[in-house]
Amino acid sequence: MIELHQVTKRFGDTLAVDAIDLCINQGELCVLVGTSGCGKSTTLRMINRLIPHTSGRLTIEGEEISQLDEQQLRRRIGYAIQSTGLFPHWPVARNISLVPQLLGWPEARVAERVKELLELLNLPFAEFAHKYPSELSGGQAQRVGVARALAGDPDILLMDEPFGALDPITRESLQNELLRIQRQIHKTLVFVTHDMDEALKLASQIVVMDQGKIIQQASPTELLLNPANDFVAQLLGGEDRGLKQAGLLRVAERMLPISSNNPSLDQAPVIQLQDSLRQALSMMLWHQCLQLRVYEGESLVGYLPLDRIIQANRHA
Amino acid sequence: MPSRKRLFFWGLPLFWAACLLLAILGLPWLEELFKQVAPGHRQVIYTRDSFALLLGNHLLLVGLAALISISLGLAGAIFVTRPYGRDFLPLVSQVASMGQTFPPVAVLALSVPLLGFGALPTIMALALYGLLPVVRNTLVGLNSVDPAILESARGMGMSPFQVLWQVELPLAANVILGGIRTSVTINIATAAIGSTIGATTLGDPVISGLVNGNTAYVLQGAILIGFLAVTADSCLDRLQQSVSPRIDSRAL
Repeated sequence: MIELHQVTKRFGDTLAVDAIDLCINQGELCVLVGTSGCGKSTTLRMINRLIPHTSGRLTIEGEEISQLDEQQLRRRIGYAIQSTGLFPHWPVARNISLVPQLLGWPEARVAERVKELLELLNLPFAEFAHKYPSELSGGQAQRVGVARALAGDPDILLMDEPFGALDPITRESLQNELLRIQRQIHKTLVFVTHDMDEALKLASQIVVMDQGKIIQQASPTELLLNPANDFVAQLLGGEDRGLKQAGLLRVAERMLPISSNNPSLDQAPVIQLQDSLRQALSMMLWHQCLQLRVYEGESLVGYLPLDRIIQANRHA
Repeated sequence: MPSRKRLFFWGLPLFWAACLLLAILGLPWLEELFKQVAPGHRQVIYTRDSFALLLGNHLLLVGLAALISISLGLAGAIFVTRPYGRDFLPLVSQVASMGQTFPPVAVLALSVPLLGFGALPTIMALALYGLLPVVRNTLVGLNSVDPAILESARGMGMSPFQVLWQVELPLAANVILGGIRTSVTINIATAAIGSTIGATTLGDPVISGLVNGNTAYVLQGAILIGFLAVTADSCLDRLQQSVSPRIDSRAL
C-alpha cells in the first residue's frame, strides 16, 4: 500500500504538487490522469524518489520512503517510461536481467526469470533475447521495458505514459496485455497518462489531477457518472461520455437469456460475450437493428436488445 | 569473430608498424640514396644515436605524457559531470576549448622558463597539451548519453558508480577514445619539437639536419615520425572501433 499524506513538491518558487492525499491499495491499478504540467509525473517519481518530496509523508507499507535506502527502494519498485530507457549497448536479455542482478540473484534464477518474462510478454526467447534495442519495433521495445520493470518481481510498478509514443493499434494491444498481465500477477500499479480513454480502460481507480492538486479520485464508472466539476467532465470528453461509459461495460453484464419465441433474432448480427456495450451499440447503428445475438466462442448464449443497453447505463 | 577477420581488422595498423620497423632497420643501409638528397655532405646517415633508441625515447615521452593526460582528463571530465562538480563544468569546458587554440610550439616554449630544459618539461608540456582533447571529448561523450537512459538506470536502482561504469562510460567510449586518439597523435608530432628544448626524440635528426642544412637527416627523422604517427593513429582507430558499444547484433 502506498500512502501520500499532504505531500508537496516545490521546484524553486513553483508548486508542482500541492499537498495531495492519496492512498493506493495493494493490487490496485491506479491511473493518474491530467493535462501536461498537472503534477502527475512528478507525483509518480516521488514514489521511487527520483524526485524527493519537499514536505508531507509518503509511505510504502507504512515506511516513510525518505528514511529508506534510495537504491534498495528503487530495486523493489518497477519503473517503465515512455522512451523505454533501454540500454542500447546491452542485448534484450541483459537489459531485463538488470534489476535481478542488482538484487544479487543467483545466475540460474536470473536466466530463468528472463525467459519467464519474455514468455509473459509474448516475445519468443530464441528470437529476442540476443537482439539489441535498436533492432526492436516501438511496441517490442516497450514490451521489453515492461519486462525489465517486472524483472525483480517488485510489489509496485510505476509506469509513466509507457504507451504514449505508440501507434493506436500497438497501444491497444499493449493495454490489453497489461490488463492480462495484471490479472495474472496482481501488482500495485501506478500509471500516468494524459489519455482519458486509456485511463478509463485500464484503471480500477482514477486520480484526476490539475495544477498540482487532486481534483477527483474515483472508479472509472463513478467518474463518468459523477464528474466533480466541468474540468473533469471536459477531460471525459463532454458529450461522448455516454459512449465512454458503454465502453466500460461488457455485453455479458447486460444480455438476456434466449427466449424461444423470438423469430426475428435469427437475422440479428452476432457479438461476442466479452465485447463492450459500445461495440454493441456501434453494431446496431451499422446494421440498423435493435438487437444482437450473443455468442461465447462458437455457441449462442443469449441476446441483447437496445433498451437493455440504455437501461444499463442509467442503472450502472 | 573468426581469426582471419580479426587479422584483417588489425591489418592496417600492422602494415604501418611493419613500415616503421623496416625504416628503423633499413634507413642506415640507404646511404647511396641519401647521398643524392644531400650532396656535399660527408655523412648522410644520422648516427649520433641509433634510430631504435630515438624511437624508444620518443615513445616513452609520449607514453608518459599520454598516461598523465588521459588519467587527469578522464577524472576531471567525470568530476565536472557529477552533481557535486557541476559548478566547475563551464570553467573546465571553456579552458578545454580555449587550450585547443594554443599552438604546440608555444606550449613547449612557455614551459622552458618554468621547468628548464630536458625530458621533464617536454613531458609536462605534452601532458598539458594532450589533456585538452581528452577532457573535451569525454565531456561531449558523457553529455550525449540520452537522459532517459540515465533516468531509467537510476530508476532501476543502480548506484551512481554503477551508472557511470556500466552505462555512461561504455556509451561514451567511442567519443572518449576519439579524444585520446587526437591527443596521442598530436603529441607524437609535438614531441619531436621537444628536441629543441633538450629531450632526446625522433626530432633530433630533423633539428640537427635543419641546423646543418643536411636534408638527409631531416628526411630520416620525418619518415620515422610520420610512420610512428600513422601507426599509432590507425591502432587507436581500430581500438576505438572495437570498444565502441555494439548496438546491433547483425554487426556480429
